[in-house]
Amino acid sequence: MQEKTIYINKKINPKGLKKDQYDVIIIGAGIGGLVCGCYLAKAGLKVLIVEQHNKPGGYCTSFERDGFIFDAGAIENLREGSIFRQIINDLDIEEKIKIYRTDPSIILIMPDYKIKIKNNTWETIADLQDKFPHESKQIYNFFDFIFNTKFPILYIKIKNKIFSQFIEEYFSDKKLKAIIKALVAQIGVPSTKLSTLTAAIHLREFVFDSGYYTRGGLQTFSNALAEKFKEYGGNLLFSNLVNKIKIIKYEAKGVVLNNKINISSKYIVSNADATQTFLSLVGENKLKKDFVIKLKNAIPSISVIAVYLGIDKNLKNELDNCYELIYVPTYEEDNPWEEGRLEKTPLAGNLYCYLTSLKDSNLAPKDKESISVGLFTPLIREDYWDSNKEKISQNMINRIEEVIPGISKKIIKKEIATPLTFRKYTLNRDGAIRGWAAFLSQIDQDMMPQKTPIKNLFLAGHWVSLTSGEYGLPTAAYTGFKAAKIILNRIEK
Amino acid sequence: MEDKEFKVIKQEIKSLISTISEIPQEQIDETKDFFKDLGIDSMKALEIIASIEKKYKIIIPEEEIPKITNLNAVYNFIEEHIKNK
Repeated sequence: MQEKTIYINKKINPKGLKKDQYDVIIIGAGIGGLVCGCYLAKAGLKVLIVEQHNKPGGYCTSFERDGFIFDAGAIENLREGSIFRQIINDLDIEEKIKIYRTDPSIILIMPDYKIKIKNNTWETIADLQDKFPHESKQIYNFFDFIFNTKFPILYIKIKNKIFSQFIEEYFSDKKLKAIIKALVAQIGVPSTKLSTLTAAIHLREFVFDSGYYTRGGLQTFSNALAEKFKEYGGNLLFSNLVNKIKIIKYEAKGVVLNNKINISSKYIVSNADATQTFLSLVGENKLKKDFVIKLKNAIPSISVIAVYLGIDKNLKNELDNCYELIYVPTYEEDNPWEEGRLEKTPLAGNLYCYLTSLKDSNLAPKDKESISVGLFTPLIREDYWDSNKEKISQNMINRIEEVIPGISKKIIKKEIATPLTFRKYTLNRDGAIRGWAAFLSQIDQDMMPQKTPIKNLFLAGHWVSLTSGEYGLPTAAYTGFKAAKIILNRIEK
Repeated sequence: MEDKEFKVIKQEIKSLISTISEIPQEQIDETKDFFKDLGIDSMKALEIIASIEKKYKIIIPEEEIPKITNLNAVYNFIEEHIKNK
């Protein structure tokens, strides 16, 4: 039987393509893969996305248990003027995504202070000045520099400056220094290894301009992109694992799936874990030794243990209806990489709480709440979690009890996700939550660029390194968009 | 350095900025405060700066910063830098 020839775009493929031939195959339906796929399919290319999980999104997914809906991971960054807004606009998905903003956007709870991050940045800063009057002028100087300095100047002045030293130049109050460090702790890197540039971008774009969410949870965003991709004519294959990238003479030619099916394409974009893309899918023998060594020595970002709780209590009008709560129980800076940290009593480490249903009541049954609590940790060991996860999650709940009294008696649903769980669902190396660790030594756009040593193979997603050390969803979206542009530019030429 | 060569560098920088920022070259005004006027976001802005730095292997010293207010100033800086190499 003769195979049917498919024409998606006669200009690009005048002879058409056979059933198992594509212009581009994208490995992974995370945000990077979906965004890339949408732009390519919109331009008329025949695109296939292969995803091992049964739903789109990667870390940008949600799951449901007995009417409680939880976001699996990922912090949104949907601020005005962001790359996300541009993508939402370009791909015409405003209708499907209802963005709202909470005020305050974050509440930081320290031993003697409760800092509300309000939508009005200078109101928040004035509040800090009231709390630390003896440092008032320096607080102004610090934030004035962070917020009002242009990017080129920030880059030149502070990229190579360690954040802990930078703070010393401004402040002397120990508690204030701890607060500033706590505000950037979500990067997952101790301030002694953090570039001040990364910290500054984080404060500007992730802390003070935050609080934006999509109604219905993170999955809504991923679903909207996946639907749009199909509308543009893209093909999405779930529950299929790519086993090999076919390479002939250092040029990518297609993929082989787990079930041995061969699919060919002109270009490949890997939105999957970079280490496995190169070492398993491409193969060490196809790569230069230096590259393999660089890859093996690079340090992935931190992972997380998360507890998802269904609470039989209405918490509305408590906690200022704030969606995001950061609880920092001590003034000593949390170092998530510290050995033995999870065994300390009481539990050490910052806790990140997301009270998703406070603003979006559809995310929990009536008069109940969905809460997720995360604590950064590396993967430690394969056999560590089975015997320790219950105890650690109980300690996390005990800690949260200090901030939301009575909560532990109202738990009617509980799920735990360890670094192994995150690795299982996303295949990210060591369950890393945001690509490479944003150590000063690793924030360089040449460390892991989108163009790979293999011809016609590109990377998209959070494993692409960026100068700013920005991570997570914005990196994923931006690099997905850029991978599409690189391919479209090549086709035009 | 010959003027012709300098023209090439100017063109290269303009093309690099245009590619990353997606702003057509003819809309890039070399006399204006580029990053302020175009409202480029941090990811794109830092990519432009790091790319220029890497391409021409320059490190801009802190004391030069106040002078670099627009693209013409960037060209001049790079020209000076290459001349003194």
